[in-house]
Amino acid sequence: MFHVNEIKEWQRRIGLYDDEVAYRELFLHFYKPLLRFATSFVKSAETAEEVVSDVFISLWERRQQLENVNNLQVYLYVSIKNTSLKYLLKQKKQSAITIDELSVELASPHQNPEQLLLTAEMLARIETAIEGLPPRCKIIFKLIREDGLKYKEIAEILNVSVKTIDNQLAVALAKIARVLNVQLKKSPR
Amino acid sequence: MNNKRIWELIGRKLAGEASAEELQELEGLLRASPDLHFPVEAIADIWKTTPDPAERVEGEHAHARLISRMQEKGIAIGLQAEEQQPAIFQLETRTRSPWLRYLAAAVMVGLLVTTAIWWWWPGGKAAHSPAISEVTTRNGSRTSIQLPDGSHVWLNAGSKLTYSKDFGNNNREVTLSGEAFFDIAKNADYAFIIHTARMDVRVLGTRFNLRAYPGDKMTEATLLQGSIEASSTSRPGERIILKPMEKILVSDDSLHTVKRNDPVVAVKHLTYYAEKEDAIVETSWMENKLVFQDESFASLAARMERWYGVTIRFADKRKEEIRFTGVFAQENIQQALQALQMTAVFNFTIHGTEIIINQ
Repeated sequence: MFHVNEIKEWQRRIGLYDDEVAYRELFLHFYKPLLRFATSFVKSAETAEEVVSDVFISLWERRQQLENVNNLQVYLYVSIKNTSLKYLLKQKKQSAITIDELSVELASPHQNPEQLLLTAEMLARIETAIEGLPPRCKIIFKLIREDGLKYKEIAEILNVSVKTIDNQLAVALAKIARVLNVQLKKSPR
Repeated sequence: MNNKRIWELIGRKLAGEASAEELQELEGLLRASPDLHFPVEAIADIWKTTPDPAERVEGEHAHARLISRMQEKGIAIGLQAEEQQPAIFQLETRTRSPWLRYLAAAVMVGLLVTTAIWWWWPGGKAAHSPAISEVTTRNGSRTSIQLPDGSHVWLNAGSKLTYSKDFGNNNREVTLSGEAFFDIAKNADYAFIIHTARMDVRVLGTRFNLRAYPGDKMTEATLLQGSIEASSTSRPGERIILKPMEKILVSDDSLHTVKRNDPVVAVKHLTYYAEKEDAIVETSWMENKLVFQDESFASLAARMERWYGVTIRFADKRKEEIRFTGVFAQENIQQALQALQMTAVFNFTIHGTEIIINQ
């Protein structure tokens, strides 16, 4: 991915030079994806922001050790997950949450229908189909498509096997295809 | 029917995880299932999402909230926000050359301001245009750069490194004011030459630290690896070859070699310094540490000014003579001064970035 080197460079600059500009760029790059990821655990926008902010504060405070972090992206997602679980525990709601209990929020797709093969109506149906995916399937689909994470990274973050990721993404795609096929038969063109 | 396999492969392809064999396998499978062509194409079409630009603005607000939350917790961050502008390029030209253009992209680090100046050399053999690149760090900030020949330079606070645009083509010469650590790429054809006000250093490939702040009493080169050859600018004929773990000091016009007594770092007073056998005082700034050994308060204050981006004034001149040994790493200026107070009697007041030492 294009961003990988940029992330590495920010990481280096924060660790070596206390570089606040790099820190800000890193934050802006990850804020929304991490916020959504946190929201899927804590289910409250306010708490999710606190989680993201906690993770970034501890990153700054431990910046001297930052160069020892192998994959900062994975580190951030795992930190978000762990911090979210800590919040849930504190609120005495749950001590653990399984991947099947996540409430996954998708980014608005931000596409221009005029440049696509599909009509706006079909797009809306696809979005509904994606929205309706089971949590496990949806979070994996989202982390691959929106967040651009690698299978191995997702496996590490969610504690699932690469095989599971293969399966769940296939399920998601097949469901979307079904919506498209139905649509295709209805509207001959 | 092996639809599941097809979707797995399509998923891998979209995610950029498919191997060449898998892509080939997918092609074969799709050829056998023409009914999948439309959905597959449509899905590929919607797959790429672009982030909503509004999200960056949202992120910026969240960042502002983060910084103020950190400040509430007493974390020193965001204090020099007005200086954190992107790199500024200043172009100066002496002619109206129309082709003179913006020289793009240099890495912006911290409070660094990078200036790239291109000038057209008028007259005579003006076919090539020497240009000067300049990298500067302000007090309180450090940076690193990679030169065109692959050498790395780490620039300490309040320093300036300049080199010509044709650096690496037929010369490897730079000029330094301030302090830098050099990791010089090997090149037998062209020696790497560093000019400072008092000393020139010639090297072929090595790692060493060079401190040449204007106003400091000494210019100092510390060699970690390889060998370097130094000469005082006032006596260019006299050359001194340094071996690893030696350092050379130049004051005014005299040239002395000083053997390093290892280990250099020793803690005598400050309690929170973790002793480390291989810690070398001269290059400690590279690890974000300000190390000082039996150093006068006057000299330490000058280094603290650069390190923290503050000014330190002695209302009581006698305090300049106090000697300190220790290390600062994560401490902010206030914590650093409080640590010094543990071993010596003085008071200080902080007004913004101005510090007064008194009593």
